[in-house]
Amino acid sequence: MDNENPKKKKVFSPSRTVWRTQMGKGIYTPHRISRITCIINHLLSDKIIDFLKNLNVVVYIESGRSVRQFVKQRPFGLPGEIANLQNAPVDIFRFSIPRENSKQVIESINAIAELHKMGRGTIFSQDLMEFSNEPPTINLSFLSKSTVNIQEANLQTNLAYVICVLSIPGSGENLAKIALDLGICVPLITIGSGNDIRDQLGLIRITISAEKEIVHLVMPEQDSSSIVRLLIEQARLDRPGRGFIYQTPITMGLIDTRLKIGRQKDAASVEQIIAAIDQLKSGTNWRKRLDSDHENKLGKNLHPQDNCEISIISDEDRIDRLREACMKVGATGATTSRVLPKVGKREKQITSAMIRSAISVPANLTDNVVDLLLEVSTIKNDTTDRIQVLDSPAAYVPHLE
Amino acid sequence: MSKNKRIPFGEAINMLFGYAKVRVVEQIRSIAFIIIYLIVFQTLVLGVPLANALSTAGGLALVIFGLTFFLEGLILGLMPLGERVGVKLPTRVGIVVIAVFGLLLGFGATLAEPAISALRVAGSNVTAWDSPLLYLLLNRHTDILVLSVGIGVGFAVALGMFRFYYNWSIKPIIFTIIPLLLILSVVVSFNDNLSKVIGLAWDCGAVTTGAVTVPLVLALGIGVSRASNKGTGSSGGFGIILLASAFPILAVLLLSISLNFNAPAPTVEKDFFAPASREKTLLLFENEDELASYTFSHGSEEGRRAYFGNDQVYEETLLSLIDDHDAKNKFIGNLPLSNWVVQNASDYERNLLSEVDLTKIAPVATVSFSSVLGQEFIGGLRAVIPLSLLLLLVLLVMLKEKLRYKDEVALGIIFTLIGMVLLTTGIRLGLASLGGEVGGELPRAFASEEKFVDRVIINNFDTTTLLIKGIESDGTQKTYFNLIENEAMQRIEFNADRYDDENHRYEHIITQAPLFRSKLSVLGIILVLVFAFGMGYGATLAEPALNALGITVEGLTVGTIKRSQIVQVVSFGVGTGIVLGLSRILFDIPLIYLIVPPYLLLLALTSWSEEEFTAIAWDSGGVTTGPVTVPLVLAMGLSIGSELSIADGFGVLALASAFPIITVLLYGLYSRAKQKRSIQSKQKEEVNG
Repeated sequence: MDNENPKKKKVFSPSRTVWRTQMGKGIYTPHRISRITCIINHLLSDKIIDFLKNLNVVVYIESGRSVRQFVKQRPFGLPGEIANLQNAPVDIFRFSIPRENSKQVIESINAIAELHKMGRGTIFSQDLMEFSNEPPTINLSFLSKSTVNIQEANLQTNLAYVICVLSIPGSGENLAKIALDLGICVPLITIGSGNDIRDQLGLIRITISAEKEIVHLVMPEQDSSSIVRLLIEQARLDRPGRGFIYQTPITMGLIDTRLKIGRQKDAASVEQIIAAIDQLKSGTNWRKRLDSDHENKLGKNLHPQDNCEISIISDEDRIDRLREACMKVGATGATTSRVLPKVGKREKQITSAMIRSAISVPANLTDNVVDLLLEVSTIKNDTTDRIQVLDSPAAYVPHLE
Repeated sequence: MSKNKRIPFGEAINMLFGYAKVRVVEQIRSIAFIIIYLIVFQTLVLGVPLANALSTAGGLALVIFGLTFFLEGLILGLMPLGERVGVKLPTRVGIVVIAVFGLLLGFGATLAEPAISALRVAGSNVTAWDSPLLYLLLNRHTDILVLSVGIGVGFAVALGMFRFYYNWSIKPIIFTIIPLLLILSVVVSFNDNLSKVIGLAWDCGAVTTGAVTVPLVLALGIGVSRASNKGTGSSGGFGIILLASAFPILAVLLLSISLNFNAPAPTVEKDFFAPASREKTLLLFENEDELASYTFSHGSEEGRRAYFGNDQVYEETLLSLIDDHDAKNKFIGNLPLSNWVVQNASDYERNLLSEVDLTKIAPVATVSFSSVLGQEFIGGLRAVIPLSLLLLLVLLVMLKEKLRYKDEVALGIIFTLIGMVLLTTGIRLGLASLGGEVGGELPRAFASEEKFVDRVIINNFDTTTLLIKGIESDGTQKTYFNLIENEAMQRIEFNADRYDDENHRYEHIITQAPLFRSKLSVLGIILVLVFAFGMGYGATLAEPALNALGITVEGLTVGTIKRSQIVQVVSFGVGTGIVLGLSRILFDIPLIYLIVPPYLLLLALTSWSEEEFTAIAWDSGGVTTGPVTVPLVLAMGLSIGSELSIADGFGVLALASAFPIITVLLYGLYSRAKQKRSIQSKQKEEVNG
C-alpha cells in the first residue's frame, strides 16, 4: 500500500486467478484491454461523442457533477473571501480499447478537449480483464489521422482511482468538500442505487432509500492510502450503513486540478504551481503530503484487503439475475448506475435501457463470482453486455467482514 | 429475491416513524409559507379575525398529510410504473403503437382529471349576452370542450413519443407551435365574440396538465428516451408537458372558431331577452324552459321585462310564482321563492312580491366534512385508478413484462389515491376557505365605497321601543338601534327608507368599510399586487406536480440543478405571472396584450438557451397550475373581478404558466454562464498571462 509501485511487489492478483480459471475452462475468453474513463464538462461532450463515433467504439455515458470551490469576495465590500461549492454537470465516458492504443487515444482526446488546460476534465486508462462477445476494436485509420499534442499531454502514471459509495443522502457533498479542502482533486459525484439490503426485507424496505451517492476521486497513488484513511474517518464509514470505499489502480492519466474558480489574488494559483512542478518532475512522486505519524494514528480503522472490482454492463432486466448470482456467493453491495450506450458506426443500435453495476469483491470470492456471473450472462449471444474484472489493492467494505 | 431478514416489530415502527417524519416535515416546510402569509395578511393587514379557525386548521393538516402521501405515492408507484412502461415499449412495439398508446393516455388523463370545473368557476360571472360564445362553450357544449382538450393532450403525448423515439429537437417544435398560437390568438382578437374566448383557451392549456398526469407523462418520456438511446443529454423525457399545454390551446381556439358561425353576437341584456331575437338566443340553450329559468337566475328586472315583452304579462307571471307551483318550478326551479326575492329581485319586484314571507329564508346549506370527503374520493378514484390500470394492462398484458416490486407499486398507487383525496379535501376545507376569506376581503383595498355584504330582514321591528337617538357636536341628530348577533350587541344606524311600516319589518344591509378611501388608490393596488405575488409564490411552493418535476430534474442532472432551486425559480415566475394577470383584471387590459409580449420574449430566450434546459423550462410552465394554486388564484381573481364588474377571471392562470418559463430559462442561461466559468476564465487568464 505504501510502496511507490505496489504492482511490482504484489504476488497475488485476483484478476490473474480469474484469467487462469477461465482460460482453463475454455468457454469464455477474457480480453486484456484498457478501459478509458473520460470525465468531462458537459459543454464539451459533443466533441468527444463525435470523436468516439469515428473511433467506432461502444461507449457508455453516465451523468455526474463535478464540485469545485468558487471563491468570491465578501458582499458589501466586507474584507475577506468566501468559498462556496459550485456544481457543474459532467459526462463520464467509459469505453474499452486494445491496450496498445490507450496512450494514443488519450492523447487524441486531450488534443480535442484540451484537457491539459485545467478545469476541463480528467481522463485515465485502467488495464483490466474484460469478458465480452468480441475483443474491442477501434478504427485505426481514423486514430492515425487524428492530431496528437504530445508536448501538452503530460501523462501521469502512479495515480489511484478512489470510489466512495455513500448511503446517506447529502453525504456526497460533504465528502467532496473534504476532498477539496485537502486539495486532492476535483471530486466527481454520481448517483446510483443499491438494493441489496432492501431486497432482503418485506414492504418495510420503502423506509430505506436505495439511492447512493458515489464520489469519485483521482489522486497520486502514494497519497492514496493516507487519504483513504482520512476519508473513512471523516465520512464515518466505520459506522454501519454509511457506505464503503475502495481503490483501483490507474495506468496513466491526466487529472483536472482546478479546485478553485472565481477570484484569484496571485499570479498563479497553488494548483497551477503544483501542475507546473508535476510537469518539471514528470510525476507526482514529489508531493507526498501526510507524514507517517498521522497515518499510524488513523491506521487502526483501515482494514486493507486484496480486493477486486467487478463491473457489469448489462440490460436493466438482466442485471437482477446477475446481482442475484453475486449475492448467492456472498458478494453484496453492488451499486448500479444508469448509463446511456452509444455505438459507433455499427449498423445495430441498442434499444434497451442499460445499467452499469459495480461491486467490490474480496479476493477469495472473485473467482466464484465471475464464474457464476458468466454462467447467467448472455455474453455468448451478440449483446453489448460486458463483465470487467480489475484488481483493487485497497478496500474498506465494512459489511463484508 | 429472497426475503430472509425479519425486522423486529419495535424496530420496524422506529424505521417507519423516521421515514414518515422526514417526509411530513418536508411538506410542512413547503406549505408553511402560504399559510403564515395568508394568516398574517388577513389578521394584520386587512384586520379581519380568522373565521372557522378550527376547521381551517383541520383542513390544513389534511393538506400536509395529503401532499406527503401523494408525493410518496408518485415516487413509489406511478413514476416507476410509467418509466417501466416507457422503457419496455420501444423494445417490443413500433413507434406507431407507442404513439397510439400516448394518444390514449393523454386523452384518458384529461377525462380523468377534468380541470373544466376550475374553468367553469372562472367563468361563473360570464353572462350569455356579453359573451355568447364563451357561455356556449362553458355551459351548453362543455363535453365538446373537454373532448377537444383531451384530443389536444392526446396528440401532444403522441407527438412527444415521436420526439423521444427519433430524438427530435424541441426547439423547432416550439418555434412552430407558439407563433401559430400567437398569430391565431391575434387574428381571433379582432372578432367581438371570439376575443372573449382567448382567455379560456390559454387557461385550458394551463390547467389541463393535472397533478397525476404530469409525473406519469414525465416518467413515461424518460423511459422511452432511455430505451431508444438516441439523446445525448440528461434531460431526456422533458417536453411533453409543453406540448400538452400548447395543443389544447389550439384545439379550443379551433373549436371556438367553428362554433362561432352559429353563435349569436354579443349584445345588451334587453335585446338578448327580447322576443325579436328569441330564435338566436335559443341557440345558447337546450330549450325554452332553460332560457326562462336563466332569465330569473342571471337576468335583471330589465331582462325579465324584455323576456315577457309585455309589462302586464311580466307582472302577472311574477305574482303567479307565489301560488302557482308549475310556474315557480319553471322559472326559479327548486330555489325557495323567498331566497330568490332576497338574492335576485330588484326593489320594484320585491315590492310586488311583498306577500312573500321573507323570514323563511333557507340557510345556504353548509357542506359537511363527510360529503366533501365522499366527493373528493370519487374525484381521486377517477384521477388515479384508470390511468394506473391502463399502464398496468399495457405492461402486464400487452408487453408481458413483470413488475420488480409489485407490492411497492401497489402501495404507491394506494398512497397516491389517499394523498389525492386528503389533499383536495383539505384544500376545500382549509386552504381554499382561508384563501377565499382573504381574497374576498382584498377588494376593500381599492374600493372607495362601502361594500354590500348581505341583506338581513328583521321582523317585529318596533320603532317605538328599539330606536335610540344620538347627537353630533354640530347638532345633527342620528337614530340608532342595537342588533344582537352571536350574543354580541352592535349599534347600527337606522335608515327610515328601509323600514316597512305595514309589516314592521326592517331591511338591514350589512356593509364593509373600504380599507383606503379613494377608488383604485396606488396604495391599494400595490397592496393587492403584493398579496397576489406572495400567494402565487407560496401556493406554487406546495404544488405536488412541481415537486415531482423537481425531483426528476435533480435526479437526471445528478444534483447539478437542485429540486429546491427549480421550485423557487418556478414559484417566483408564477408570482410574477399572477401579478400581471391581476393587473389585467384591475385595469381591464385586453389579455392579448399580456400574452403576446411574454411569449415573444420566450421565443427569443429559447433561441439562446440550450436544448436540455429549454425542455425543462417549458415543462415547468405546464406543471405550475395544479390543485393548490388554482382554487386560491381563482378565488382571488374572481372576487376582485366581481368588485370591478369584470365578467371573467380568465387569463390569470395562462400568465401564471407563461412567466415560470421565462424565469427558468433565465436561470438556465445564468447557470450555464456559471458552469462555463471553470472552462472559460482559465482561457482568459491564459490570454492575459
